[in-house]
Amino acid sequence: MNMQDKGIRAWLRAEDVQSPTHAAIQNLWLTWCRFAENPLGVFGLGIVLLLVFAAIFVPYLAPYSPFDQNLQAALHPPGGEYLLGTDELGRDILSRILWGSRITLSIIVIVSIIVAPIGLLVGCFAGYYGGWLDTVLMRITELFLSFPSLILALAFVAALGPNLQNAIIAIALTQWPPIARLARAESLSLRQRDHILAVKLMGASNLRIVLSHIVPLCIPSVVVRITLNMAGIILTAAGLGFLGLGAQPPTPEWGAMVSTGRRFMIDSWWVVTMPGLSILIVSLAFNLAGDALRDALDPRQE
Amino acid sequence: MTPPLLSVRDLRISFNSLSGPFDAVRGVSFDLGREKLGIVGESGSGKSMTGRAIMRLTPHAATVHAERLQLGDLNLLNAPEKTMEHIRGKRIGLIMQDPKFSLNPVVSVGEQVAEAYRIHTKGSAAEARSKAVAMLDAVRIRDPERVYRMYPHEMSGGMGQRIMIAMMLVSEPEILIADEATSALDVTVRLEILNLLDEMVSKRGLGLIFISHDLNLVRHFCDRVLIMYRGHVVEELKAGDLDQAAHPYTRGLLEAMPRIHAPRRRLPVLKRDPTW
Amino acid sequence: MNSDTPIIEIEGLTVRFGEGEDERVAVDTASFSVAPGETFGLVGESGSGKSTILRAIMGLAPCEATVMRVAGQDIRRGHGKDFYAKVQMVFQDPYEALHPRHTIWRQLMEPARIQKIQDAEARGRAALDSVGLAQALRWRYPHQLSGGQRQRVAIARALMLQPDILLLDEPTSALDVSVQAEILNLLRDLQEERGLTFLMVTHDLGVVAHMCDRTAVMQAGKLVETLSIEALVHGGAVDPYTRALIAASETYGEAPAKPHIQTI
Repeated sequence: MNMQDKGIRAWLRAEDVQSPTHAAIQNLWLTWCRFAENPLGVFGLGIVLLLVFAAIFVPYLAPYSPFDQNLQAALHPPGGEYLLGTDELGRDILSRILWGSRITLSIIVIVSIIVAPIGLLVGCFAGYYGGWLDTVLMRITELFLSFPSLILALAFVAALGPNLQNAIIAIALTQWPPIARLARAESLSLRQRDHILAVKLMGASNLRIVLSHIVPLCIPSVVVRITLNMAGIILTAAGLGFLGLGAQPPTPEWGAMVSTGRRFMIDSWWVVTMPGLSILIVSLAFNLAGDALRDALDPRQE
Repeated sequence: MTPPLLSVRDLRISFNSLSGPFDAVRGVSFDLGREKLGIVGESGSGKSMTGRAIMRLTPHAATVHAERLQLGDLNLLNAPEKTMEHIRGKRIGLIMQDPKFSLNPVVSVGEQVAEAYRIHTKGSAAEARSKAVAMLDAVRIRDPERVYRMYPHEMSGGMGQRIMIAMMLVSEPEILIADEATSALDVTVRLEILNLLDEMVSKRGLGLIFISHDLNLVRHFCDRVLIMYRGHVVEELKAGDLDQAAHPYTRGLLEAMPRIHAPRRRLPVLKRDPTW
Repeated sequence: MNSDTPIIEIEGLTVRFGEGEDERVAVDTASFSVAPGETFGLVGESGSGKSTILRAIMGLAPCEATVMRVAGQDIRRGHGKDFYAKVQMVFQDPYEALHPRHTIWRQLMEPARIQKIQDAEARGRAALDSVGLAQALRWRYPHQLSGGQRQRVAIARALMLQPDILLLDEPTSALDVSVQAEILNLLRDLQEERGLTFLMVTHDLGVVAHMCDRTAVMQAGKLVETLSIEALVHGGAVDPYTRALIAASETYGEAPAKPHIQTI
């Protein structure tokens, strides 16, 4: 460990904190240390990072274009020049999976960006204000919850037309209600806490209390919930793709790949199994990372 | 000299934390006879951890070492878990602070006492039930048959603690550990529970380890007192001799308590010495 | 307002929770008054309604009263923002009193931001000084502080708006004896420096005897007796419940008072 290392470590563990940024970074560092204590979580995070890496550098990583057909090499088993084999049109499965990672990643990210703020705000306002606002917001939430998520997504996509953007919006529509419910449950218990009452007793407006005080406390559980839901998001997208309602061929979306590969499952197992395994591994990775994240962020440990 | 019920020598408990190993208990030694022994300390003194270590109920992350941890003729340090399960409840009982958290909310209190009996004694359900009712009566609960069917949320704190005491005494242990057993109770109720504990302990010849942060309480209730500070015992003396306490920490604690009948202008503040 | 007018005047205060069959009377027509600069105690066991009275005064519990004048305002209808600049509260549990995700400094600055105080930074530094905390603690988070330190921060936060009255809800019952001594001394010092009025809720008669000038004793929602500390300390309590409370604190507690000749 060289001198510079000692300097950074010392700065991270310093008792004497010089600024709010310093304090915030120390806090992040401590959260990371707690996260890192969970080897499965780190493993999960590693896979997620691999996914991100693959999605960014896929033009350099993929040996073939995902659309290049080579009918002579159709249904080639894994090995040789086709590491994971080829599908019925002779397209390299590895390349398609790598290119498909961009789609998977963008689905996850866009859905999360839509769902988190909506769920948080709806839930926190409903939980803190109570009364008629709570009733109205929760009935709307329950309306969305009462539909099985795939059916709701199906209906939406069917109405607007099957393509990836609409699939993303449809999935988001089904994912925000559980977040709202979670945020509401947290707000209900938080609004009785002494530190919230203390701010009320300074003359703070309800709006200020919800946005500055309640929402930040709900963020950890929402983040964890979304991470754990990632698996569900991926699977719903795969389901829509499987039904032909998400990304349209020849886009290499993993679910669509599983769907078209069904016909060849018995003799050419790799066409279905490779994208299926990718879905499994990424879902599992998010689950493991989300679990470890929950332990790391749990304010009760403090 | 009768051999002690419990003998502890050089008990050490440490945890691994993000900033290195943390020693919660650093070399605690004492013997317990058929008496009321108080262990007094502030938060972080290691008093609760000591109580848990005796029953091998410390958290997973804790490492426990001792030269001796002897219950009569049984070495508790390396006894197999099966033996410890037999010890807990049957030979050593533990009463915790808040019955709201230590009683099962979905089972009737009588059932819980009966279960405590059945764990350690083979017998019919009817026998367990009658033993439980007898125990509820022994802890001075009026109308024990009716209370048998009640649930924890229907009871006051004092009643809840009586149930806990009944649960712990029904299998007739030799030693009782009370960990802040009266701290959550109102002052008038506390008196009743302490009287009850006193009666139980003397009638049955038990050893009682009374862990508390309240020095005033312990000095008047217990026979002997151990004062703990940051993991070790700084002073050990007979309860009646507390006024002659020698150690500066004990004296500091005594001085720092506000008194009803001798109010002072300023409370003397304890100056902590790292060499203690 | 001269020093003869009480700064807190409560008459016939009643607090009810629940409706119909489930209705519970937490406080039953309590009446008392507190002079400026006085420390007034509210003593009782759990469920006596003492904490509920504080919450009713702060507007956190629904109540009705014949008279409810605090710091010159009739607070029966509502509390304006300026009420909170005159009356602040310190809560019992230092582990709940501070927002777990905000730095200490941000929490001190919060009241100043809400009430648009001009010299907020200077006040914040002064507040930290008066409660005996190092300026370096500003950027720490509450979980990095001990219970005693957190309670000091809570007191500093309460002082930011420079109130005249502090309502203290068992401020030291969650603290160790040695830390309690420091906090009680601190509160005494602050009272002398700033001429604060304290309304202190506690179940500990020792704390009452140390801090208060007068105290009211509550039982099951009713205020059974109001007495001076001299009377409490020298066996002058009249009500049987008060006497029982004192006796209970003494057995397994402090030695009882030596008999004192009372002239009634």
